[in-house]
Amino acid sequence: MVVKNKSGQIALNIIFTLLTIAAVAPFLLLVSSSFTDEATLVRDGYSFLPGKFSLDAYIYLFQSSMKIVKGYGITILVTLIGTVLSVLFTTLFAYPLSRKEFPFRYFFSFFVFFTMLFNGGLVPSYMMWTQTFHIKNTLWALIFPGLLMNGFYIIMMRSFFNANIPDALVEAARIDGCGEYGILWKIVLPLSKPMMATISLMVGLGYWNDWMNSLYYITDEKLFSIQAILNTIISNIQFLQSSQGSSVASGAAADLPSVGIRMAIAVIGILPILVIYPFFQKYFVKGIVVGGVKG
Amino acid sequence: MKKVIKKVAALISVLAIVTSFVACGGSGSNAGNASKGQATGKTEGTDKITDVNVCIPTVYDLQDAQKVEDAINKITEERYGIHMILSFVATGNWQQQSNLLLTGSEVDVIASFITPLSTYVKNGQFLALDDYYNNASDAFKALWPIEELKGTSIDGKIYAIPNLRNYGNYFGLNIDEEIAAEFGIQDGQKLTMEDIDQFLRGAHEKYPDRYALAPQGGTTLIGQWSWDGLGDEKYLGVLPDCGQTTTVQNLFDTDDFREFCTWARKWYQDGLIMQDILSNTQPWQTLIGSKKAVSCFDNYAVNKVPGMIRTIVVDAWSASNSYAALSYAVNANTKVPEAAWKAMEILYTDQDVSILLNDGIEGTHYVKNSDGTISFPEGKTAADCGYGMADLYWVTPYSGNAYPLDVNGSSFFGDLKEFNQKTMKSQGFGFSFDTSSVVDQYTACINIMDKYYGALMAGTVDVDSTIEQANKEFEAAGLNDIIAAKQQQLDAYLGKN
Amino acid sequence: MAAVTAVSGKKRKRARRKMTLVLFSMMLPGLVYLLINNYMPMVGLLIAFKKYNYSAGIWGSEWCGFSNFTYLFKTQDAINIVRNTIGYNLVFILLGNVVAVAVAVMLNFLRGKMNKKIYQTVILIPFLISMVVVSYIVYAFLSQESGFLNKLIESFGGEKISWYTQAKYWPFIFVIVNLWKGFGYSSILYYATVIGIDSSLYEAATVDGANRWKQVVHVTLPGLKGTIITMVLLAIGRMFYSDFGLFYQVPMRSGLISSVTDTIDVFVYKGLTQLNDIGRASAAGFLQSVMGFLLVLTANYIVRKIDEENALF
Repeated sequence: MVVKNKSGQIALNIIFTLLTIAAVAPFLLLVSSSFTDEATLVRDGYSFLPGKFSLDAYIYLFQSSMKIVKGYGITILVTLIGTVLSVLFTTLFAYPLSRKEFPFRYFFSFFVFFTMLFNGGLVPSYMMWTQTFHIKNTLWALIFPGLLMNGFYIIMMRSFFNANIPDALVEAARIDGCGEYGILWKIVLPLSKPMMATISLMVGLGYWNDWMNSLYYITDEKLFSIQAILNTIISNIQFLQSSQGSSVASGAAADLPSVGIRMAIAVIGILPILVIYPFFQKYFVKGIVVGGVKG
Repeated sequence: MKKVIKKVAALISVLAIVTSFVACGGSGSNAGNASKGQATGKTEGTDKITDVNVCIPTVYDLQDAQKVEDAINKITEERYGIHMILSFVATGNWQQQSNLLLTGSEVDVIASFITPLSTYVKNGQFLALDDYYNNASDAFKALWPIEELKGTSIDGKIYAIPNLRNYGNYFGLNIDEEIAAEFGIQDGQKLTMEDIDQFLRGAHEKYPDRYALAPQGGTTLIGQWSWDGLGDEKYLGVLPDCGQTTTVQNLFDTDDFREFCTWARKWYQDGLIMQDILSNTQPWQTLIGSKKAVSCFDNYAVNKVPGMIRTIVVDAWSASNSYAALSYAVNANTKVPEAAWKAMEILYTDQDVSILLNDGIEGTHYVKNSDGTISFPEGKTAADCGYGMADLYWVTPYSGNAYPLDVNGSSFFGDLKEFNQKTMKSQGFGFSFDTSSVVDQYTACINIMDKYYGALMAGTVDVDSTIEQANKEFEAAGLNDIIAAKQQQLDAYLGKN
Repeated sequence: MAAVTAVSGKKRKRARRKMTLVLFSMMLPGLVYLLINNYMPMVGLLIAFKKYNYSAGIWGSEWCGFSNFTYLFKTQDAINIVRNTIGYNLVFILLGNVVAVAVAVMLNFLRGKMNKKIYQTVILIPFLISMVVVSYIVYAFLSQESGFLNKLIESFGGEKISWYTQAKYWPFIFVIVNLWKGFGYSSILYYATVIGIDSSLYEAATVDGANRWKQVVHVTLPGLKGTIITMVLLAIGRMFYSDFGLFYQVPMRSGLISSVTDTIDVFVYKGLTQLNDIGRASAAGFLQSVMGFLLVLTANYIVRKIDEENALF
């Protein structure tokens, strides 16, 4: 549904331009300081235009660490596998929950919901994954623990099915002799593209931004994802800046990456998503069309 | 509501099933423990090579760690039948990762770091090492005579082996070399706080666009001064006066603390310190290096900072936990305790292994100089040479057999040992406070300490009124219980020794 | 006649059972995963009642009753910490959802593919930035000496403000940062629902002479109701939790303002870090979960009374 009159459209566009600026301006400050010469940054402070342009931070990052390129590889692989598995599991789980004729739907909804409130904590999860399933230092460690299914997405998906899949349609298909998997595949999924797109986006972002699993389950640096590498650099800085470093030994304050480098680190982590997202969005928009046509 | 209760009941029964599943896993791992002795017995009898996992903190990105590990294993497999698997954990991740590693048997030798040794021991995380130490090689015993290991013992048992660092510190002011020369201050000169006051004011006048005094640890002028926290780096109950007393006191009631804060307050009010010190993100090296600051308080031993001179305000002394603050221990859950101890001995006494572990591979990670020091390869630094551990001599198990870095000078490790030998020790030396009887009070007081300590040490708040306010909160939170417990434990410790 | 219905009833029953089984088979992979990933570690909640010994493990450690919980109540700040946690959460839930729904609705009114695409992409950027980096960005704005905001204030002739030492600014800063970081994400969640709303409903409304505002009130919002209720109920369940990064990293760990920055998570972290005390850490988590659980049960009960269709369970 769109607003048809011109002044309305102009007003909307103005609002969104403002929102866009609000969202992106702080990010631009970040980008700008990653391109600013370090000494200038210390002396003149932060500004939206680099006082003195410098690529030092990026050169430093890529020279000092080919790992960044490798890390991208790991991240992309994990994000792809994780997202596909996750959307598959989530959809298969959410669909029965949305069927009124499925007798255990309340129980399983509660079952899902319960996982969102209670968790055993890190240590028991860690012991289970490493001692029972032996996933430490494998690619699976970046995919399985925690991220694969999220109660929130299951419930979102269930609500979407509830609201958007007419019972009559399912019933009709059933009378036509269509099996449950067939109904899901031929009827439900095509109607659910917006939600599928949204959830893949959210799950994908979750995998892309995840560094916790690397922190807990990976000690072999070859398997570090890009975010894990970046996060390690930042947490080292924080450690060295706390007085703990100097209380253990003098001379502990080693070569700290400069502020510019920290900013560059952040930019490097986000940039690929900004590049990929619009392509992804194409499907997102397609999904919207399909969703709108239904009825 | 009834429905919900039913559901909860159903869930609980599911949980019960799952629990029994996990219980099986648990008993499985117990069986693993039981066979511990057997496994190691085998290794001693035959030439079988035993894997030992060693976990070491680092602050650098060590891309070539695998190469170094391979080189080390070439030596250790042949000489000792031990294959070391080294994992380097970033200091920033240390707390989290080391704690997880210790839940199982993934690691055998691990640094005791950040968390106080007494806490590790009370948590049952480390193995007592006395028996192993008694059977250790002479070389190892010569390196660490039993008296020295008092510093890493808890309740009379050895739980860790210290590494080579400075166990004590001078406390003084680092000053930009050129500016120090202008004011006629020399390296190693003794200064009083009045001298420093005079210097800071002079420097401020001459260089008004620079901060006279930069913060040391990010956001405070200096992390600690002349008080000993007795193994507790939150300083809830301290021995003031460089630990030359045995009465535990509230830090905020000591003259040492008040005096330092009063100076800091004066300097802050007179604009000698940056006004946003509490949220500063620039390290002092950068601030002084980029000519934004003139000087900074620091604690140090024999190492130098290029471009700066060091002065002395508080003569060198060593705090009670100085040996234990970074030491190496054996995981209580290890399946190969004997091999783990052997690995420990190798790391401390085998020179070839030491050189590899500390400095990396010659030609790739360092070049030798004629005076016996080493430098990073042309154009490289510790951060980007691929294996910068040489800069972290204070982290590895034992760097004394390796080459010192050029900035520290050829006699560095000798100087360091000498410094450690003659440094004044706190009366509570070797004591490590066990918080377990007062954890409730302790957690509450930590939060109060975090609120005021930094702010007072940076001079950003009024000294008298803030201390009064803090003490009120401390009293309510039970600081006196902590002090009493500390005193009691200390007295018991001193009586035993 | 009766026999026929009985037979067809049996048949129907069998068909029904088969359908249930097939539906259940769909859920199996997810079910196994949730059991492993979420339920198995719940055994660890036992740790909250044990004095955890690393070499003894979960089963071997001694029971210690409720002694792991006492530290949460002995502090004078207990009330303050709980107030902060709940207070911020309430504001975040309210403002966050109102803004997100508004943005989603407006996005739906927009014409033009290109600009829509750009807006959608850009408002998501803040969500992609990790909290540590957000803390750097906030610092770039608020730093007393080199911050962008103070430079701006100065250029208008104002006095520099010492943001990081004055508690009064921080409730606002937290709300702004939280809103900034989260609104794109929730907007898109809502948007996905909005575009799923049957367009014939709008047409019908238009035929009935409903203006734009009335369409929103009578078509869009009812369409969003389920999603909104779900989001709010879920947020209520996390009422006693807080975004650790936001309250710990963003204020640069400045102690002076802790009266407004300390939430339960921050307090527990500050108190227990270095102690490796997983017993007390689990105790805090356990309490947060139980409180949240009770709140949600109550809220869900109310929703169920009013509108059963949209209750969570």
